[in-house]
Amino acid sequence: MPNPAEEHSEEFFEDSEDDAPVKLTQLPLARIKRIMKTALGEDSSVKLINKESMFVVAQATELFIAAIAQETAKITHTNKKKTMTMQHLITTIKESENFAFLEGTMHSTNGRIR
Amino acid sequence: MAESEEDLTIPRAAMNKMIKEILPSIRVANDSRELILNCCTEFIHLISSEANEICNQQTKKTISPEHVLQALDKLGFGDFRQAAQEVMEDCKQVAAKRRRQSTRLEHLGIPEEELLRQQQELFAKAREEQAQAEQHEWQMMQFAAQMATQNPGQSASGSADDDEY
Repeated sequence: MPNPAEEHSEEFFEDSEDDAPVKLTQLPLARIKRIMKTALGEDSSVKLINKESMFVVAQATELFIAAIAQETAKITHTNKKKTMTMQHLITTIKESENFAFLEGTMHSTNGRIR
Repeated sequence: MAESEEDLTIPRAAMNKMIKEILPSIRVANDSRELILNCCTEFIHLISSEANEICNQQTKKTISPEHVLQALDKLGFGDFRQAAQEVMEDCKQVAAKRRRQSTRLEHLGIPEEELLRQQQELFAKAREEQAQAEQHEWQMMQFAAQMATQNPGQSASGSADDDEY
């Protein structure tokens, strides 16, 4: 069970030369690190992850959310709806090459909810 | 709520806040939010695996930001790379600026005891102001409560929240 205080403090990107933290990402770095480690498989115990790298991943994730949300909003708009639905998201995933990697996620999330 | 390591996601609240900032006037169904959350995790897995591979190819033991940036390029998220790099540049500038400022402070020649004394003064002042602000707020609450009992029937709630969560 992660220490919430620890998770919170890593939300701030700390400049190594002077200790004052600057908030640069909305995502907790400790969480990002754990998710990254899960993906590394065997290498997770051997590899170190530079803090700056976690920050880049956090940034990229924020950009990802923006991209998928905006792409899907276009579909919501085209369908003249005010609410973004699962179906709109599914369309985005199916039609965009960049998001093709999400097909599996789509199916397992669907199964979990319905 | 027990979560296995594989089920870890980014915090839902953080994601909701981001979505709200990006699409202020669109409602997002709850199941869509759930899907986006899982997609984020999948995205992080994808980038991490790729970065790890690149790191291995270079026979390094630490995954560096450069590995992550190359992974983004390789996976077709090249424009993320640019945006991320710009933010990194901003960070460096902020950090450099702060370093310059702290150097300037050292050169002012104020002895440490004096600085300490000034700091204590500022803290005391801040505590006093805080106490006053709290007192003021308490009074306002009392006042509002009084008004409410005198005018029953006036609702204090704001407009309906159109968030779906």
